[in-house]
Amino acid sequence: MSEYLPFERNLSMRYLFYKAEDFFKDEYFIQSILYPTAESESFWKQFLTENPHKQAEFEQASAYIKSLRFEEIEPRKEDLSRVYDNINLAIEHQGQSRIARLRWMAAASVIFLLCALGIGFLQYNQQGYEEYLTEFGEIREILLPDQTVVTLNSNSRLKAFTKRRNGLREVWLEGEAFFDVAKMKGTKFIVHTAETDIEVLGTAFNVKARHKGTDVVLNEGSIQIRDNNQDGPVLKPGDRVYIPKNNPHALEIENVEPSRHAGWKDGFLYMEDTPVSEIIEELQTTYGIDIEIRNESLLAKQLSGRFSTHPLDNLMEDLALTINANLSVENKTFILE
Amino acid sequence: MEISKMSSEEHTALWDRFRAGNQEAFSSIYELFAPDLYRYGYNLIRDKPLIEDALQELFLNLYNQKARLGPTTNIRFYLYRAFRNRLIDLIQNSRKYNREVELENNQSFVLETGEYEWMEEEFVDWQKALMMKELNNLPKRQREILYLIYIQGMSYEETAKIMEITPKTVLNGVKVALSTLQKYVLPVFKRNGVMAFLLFSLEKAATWNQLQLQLFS
Repeated sequence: MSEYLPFERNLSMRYLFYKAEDFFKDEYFIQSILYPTAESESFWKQFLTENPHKQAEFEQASAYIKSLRFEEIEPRKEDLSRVYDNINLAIEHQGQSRIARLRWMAAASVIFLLCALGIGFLQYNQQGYEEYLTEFGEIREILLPDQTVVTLNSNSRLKAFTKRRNGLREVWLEGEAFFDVAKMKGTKFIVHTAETDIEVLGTAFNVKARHKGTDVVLNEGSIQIRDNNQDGPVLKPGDRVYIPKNNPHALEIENVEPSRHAGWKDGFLYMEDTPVSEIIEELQTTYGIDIEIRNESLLAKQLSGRFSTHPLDNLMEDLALTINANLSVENKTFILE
Repeated sequence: MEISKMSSEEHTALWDRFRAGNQEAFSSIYELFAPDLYRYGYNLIRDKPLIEDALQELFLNLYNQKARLGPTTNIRFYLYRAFRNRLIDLIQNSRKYNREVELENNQSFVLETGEYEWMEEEFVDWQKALMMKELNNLPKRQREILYLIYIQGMSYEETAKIMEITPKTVLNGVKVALSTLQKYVLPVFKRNGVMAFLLFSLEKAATWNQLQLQLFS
């Protein structure tokens, strides 16, 4: 492997001891044979002038490389331009569909969607769903076929439609995600969690479906919470609804600053009189870190403010500093006391 | 402009213009890279419609994602990796629906003979045929490694990332090929000295092409 820069001073030195097989394996040498540049040509010319005894090894290695040829085809010009035209056609249809969508009947928009997704797409996604998983500490942005953007937080699982069924766009969430749903007339977007179903008509909101319950915060647009096909409350922007696991009918709605609840997307945690116990639980489920509290009184403390989650070490240090605790690490466990 | 001649600054500039929504940059990227991707695709699977579908999906997706793409100094590597993944997805999906598509078939990554400048008369056709046979008997993935490194000029690390293997596996692939080459190419050098490589016989070319036809038809 090359840990060197091609033009480091002692590069010539390095090649002094090279045999043909070493040249053959050397990335800079290979590149010079395949794609010679003015720089590489002058480098090797000088090298061989200074070290004429290397000429044989050099030529041998170059012959090895030139021996490797593959049976290839030359792509036909008309094939390449047809593919290019198809791409542009698909792009055009997408653009049109965005403007036209609002005015079109639901039936027409089905046809549009087919075009917008590209001719090959549905053909190859017959099973209808795709699953996405994130590891601890991983945040992933997913573009669904309808142009909805889902940002999936760490340690989460999303099963998402690849095509619509019964006029519905359905996704299933375990964990936390932020949804920026593409508006599509006549096609509902539904987020299912263990506790509830959230019905959407084009909007942006955060859903957190962890083990204690489901937490939904609406940034813009409007959504309706559903419980076993019963209509639940309709949320306005800024509304937060919490659906506890043990009692899904006991909804609590409050008004919050929505951008804070989606702060994780940008690598921040916002706290507002948040108890330490809650923060620690959040850190454990989202980032998979182990935290041990040796001083129970710390748990009751409350925190407000914005904390950067990257890197996690810093976050832990900030946290310790703010609650006036000592931070140490033992066997990958953060200890607060 | 040739890809090989593009500096990493030019790559970055082209990529940035594309990300900013410049239509011309998008079409340049297609013109520069689509032919090579097509050739690579053809080596992965001998199915042109499938390759064309993958190309189309790749570029359509690239276009749609442009606002979300990060900066890159190496468009080629980025595209190869995305293209390979897309092609493999398509192959796996079409396999489910009984289209006769096989990634593992022996048709792909076939090494061929050519008119080598370094060759001379004593490197007779049967020796060459043996060398080709031996190289073509390597597992397909090893042939792909050789293709990416010695034809496309990818680095070990890029090759490893494109194929989702470790750099060590890449190096091993290179070593295996090396031993075959040493067995056949080296003796010619030993006998004829340094100048052998300069000999280039146009008359030979015709014979080699015929041989190739016999071997691979």
